[in-house]
Amino acid sequence: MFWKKDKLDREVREEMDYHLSRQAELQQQEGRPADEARNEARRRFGNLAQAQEETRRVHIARWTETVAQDVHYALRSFARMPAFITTAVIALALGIGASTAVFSVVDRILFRSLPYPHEDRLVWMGMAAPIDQQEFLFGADYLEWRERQTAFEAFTSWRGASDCDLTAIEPTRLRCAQAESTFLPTLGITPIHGRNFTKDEDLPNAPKVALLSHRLWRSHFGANPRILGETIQLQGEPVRLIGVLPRDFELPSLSHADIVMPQALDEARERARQRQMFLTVFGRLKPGMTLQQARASFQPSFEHSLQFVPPGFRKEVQLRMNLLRDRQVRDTRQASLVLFGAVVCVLLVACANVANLMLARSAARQREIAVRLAIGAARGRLIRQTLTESLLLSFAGGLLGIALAYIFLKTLVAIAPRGIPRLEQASLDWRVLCFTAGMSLIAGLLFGLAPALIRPRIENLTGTRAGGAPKARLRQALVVAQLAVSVVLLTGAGLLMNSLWRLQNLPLGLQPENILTTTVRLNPANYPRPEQRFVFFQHLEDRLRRLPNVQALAFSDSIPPSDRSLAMIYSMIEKEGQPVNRNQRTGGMVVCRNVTPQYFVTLSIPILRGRGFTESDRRSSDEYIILSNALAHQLFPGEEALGKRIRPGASGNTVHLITFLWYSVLGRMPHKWRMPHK
Amino acid sequence: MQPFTNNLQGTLELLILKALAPGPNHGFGICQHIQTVSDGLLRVEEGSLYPALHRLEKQKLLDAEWKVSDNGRRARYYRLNAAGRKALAQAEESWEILRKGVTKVLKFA
Repeated sequence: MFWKKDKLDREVREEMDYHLSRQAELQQQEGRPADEARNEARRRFGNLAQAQEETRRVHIARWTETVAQDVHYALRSFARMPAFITTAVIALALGIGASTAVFSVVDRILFRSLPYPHEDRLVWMGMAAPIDQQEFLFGADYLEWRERQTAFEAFTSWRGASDCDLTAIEPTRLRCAQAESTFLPTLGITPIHGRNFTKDEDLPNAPKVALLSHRLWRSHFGANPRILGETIQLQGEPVRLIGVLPRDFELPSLSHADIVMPQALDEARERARQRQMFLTVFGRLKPGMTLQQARASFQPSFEHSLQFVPPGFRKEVQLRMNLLRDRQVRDTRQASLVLFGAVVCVLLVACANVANLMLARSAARQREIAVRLAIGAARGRLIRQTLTESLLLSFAGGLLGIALAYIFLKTLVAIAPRGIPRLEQASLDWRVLCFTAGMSLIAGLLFGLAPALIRPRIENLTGTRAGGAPKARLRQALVVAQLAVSVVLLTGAGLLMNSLWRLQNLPLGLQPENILTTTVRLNPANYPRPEQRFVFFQHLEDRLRRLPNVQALAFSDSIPPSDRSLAMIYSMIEKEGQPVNRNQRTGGMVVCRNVTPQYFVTLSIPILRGRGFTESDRRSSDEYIILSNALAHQLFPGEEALGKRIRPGASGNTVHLITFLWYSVLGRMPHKWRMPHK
Repeated sequence: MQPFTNNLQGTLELLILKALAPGPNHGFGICQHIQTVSDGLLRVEEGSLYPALHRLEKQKLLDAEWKVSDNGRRARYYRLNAAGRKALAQAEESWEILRKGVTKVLKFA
């Protein structure tokens, strides 16, 4: 086999020289003089150069040689027009960079598999009702469903993640997820060190155990596997460490957790329906079971559970069952697709731009092309030359695009609002780079094809501009397409800007300017009794009020307008002298908030009628409430609500915080916003 | 016997393979062999012979190596390998079909 071109050349020549020398010898033997014999040998051989060339060609895969030629030629012609190259590469780099950055975000949301084995069988299910934005099951219902279910090979629940404090030498606020003992096995997660907790450890009075997230294990425990078995202080209680979660572990809700602990569900109490624990429920479908079949199999259990729902509310309760992935990306799917579509449009505009540049350039090269055609260049070869040039351009654009994508991505992650699933994981990995390479290739073909397909004409040799017509039409078409795509993009961008403008200017019913907020949570281990907490906040209030630049100061259990706040079912609000009709529909949820008297002054919320709270109301044994205008009119149509007494009934997911007390309506405030409900 | 469908281009290759059947030889030797054996009726053109030899080598029907020949110069010797022998047998068979077929067509008129 020949590999090197020179060696091949040399050997073919030597082989044929040998032939010639033997032929010459033969001629000499027949009596010719030496030089005549050599000439005769050459004559008999025929075209020596051609024979050598054809022999060599057997060994050279022809395309590699010509591709190298094409590339060489393209680079040489690029060097002659640096302005053209710079413009084209920058246009492409912008398009490719933007689409790469967005793809790396969208890929995580739409296409990549979740970090659970057989994630396509994981289901998020529960009852959807106005009292919570997420589907849930009450503890009692969950226990019944778990006993009866046949569709899942594993069925599990968790209570969600909440704040918890590492109360050791260096106190740290963490997020603790509380889950059933079957939670990790159902998701298919095995701890990398230690073990999952057992069913016995998940009992209400069992000694506490916990699994650490990989990050916490590294940051606080030096990634030391011998930490297992040791005890830490969590919320002032001793907790034994039994395992470390894998690095890529994520909760199915995509919320952050540093620690996974047993939820220690008190099954007896739940079954008695004394205390309604909200659980989030997951299942792993048996192989071959479809979501529809599973859904149908849960219908009897669902109907059974409905009996415990007040009759008026039943119509508003639904059984909801989704594949985990669909549920996770529910809100972001459409946004992702729109964003992705937009950047693909940008890329198309860039391609059209570069195609136009290439066309302009090929117009300038018509004579050159015609000459090459006239001296025998094959048309296919010329097309390939153009495509080689455009592919070189697009790959240069792709390379620069990757650099740009890196910057775009960093910016995107930095400015993006919270709540985009897996955004922080978005990175330029090999999948994304493959996408970029593919995009560059497609872009190169797209804008390379147009000039390549224009048939060069021999008439161009004459120097008259005869062949302009079809090219002009193509360029016009490109410009039209470019304009059309731009209009789509601009319209979309305009609509988005409009929505943003409207959101920005939405009246909140309060003045957010110059308001600072902070959240303080007390460790229940240190402040077990409400009075202690009350004293703490009173001290805090006194001290903060003495700060020089504080004009007004208020405390509330949630930050308006839409932080997680208490909510109660409208139709369960009892008016004095008028018992609640349990056959009514829920009427939606009413958001309520516990505040200190200065709240209204601090946020500039006017009291329309009646009065706000005073310091003496805080110490009074009576309970007072201020209603929004809208609620007041809804509750007491045609009457003045002031002075009336109401009693909030069953509430949302923080049942125990609302006491069943009578509240006197003190005042009315404007109602400008509504808690978003699904 | 399968009907002959190949074109006539395989003829040179057949001659080369057959010429190498007795033993390894170089290009000049193959030329001479064919000319002598055919009583001067066939003469192989050098311009076609060498590309054909290299093609056969690339198709792995021939092995080639440089050896010092009888006149003391280095020559490229070609040798039939197992695949080459098989190809030769097939080519001979095809040729036979071609010969019979052509003869019958020519005799018909």
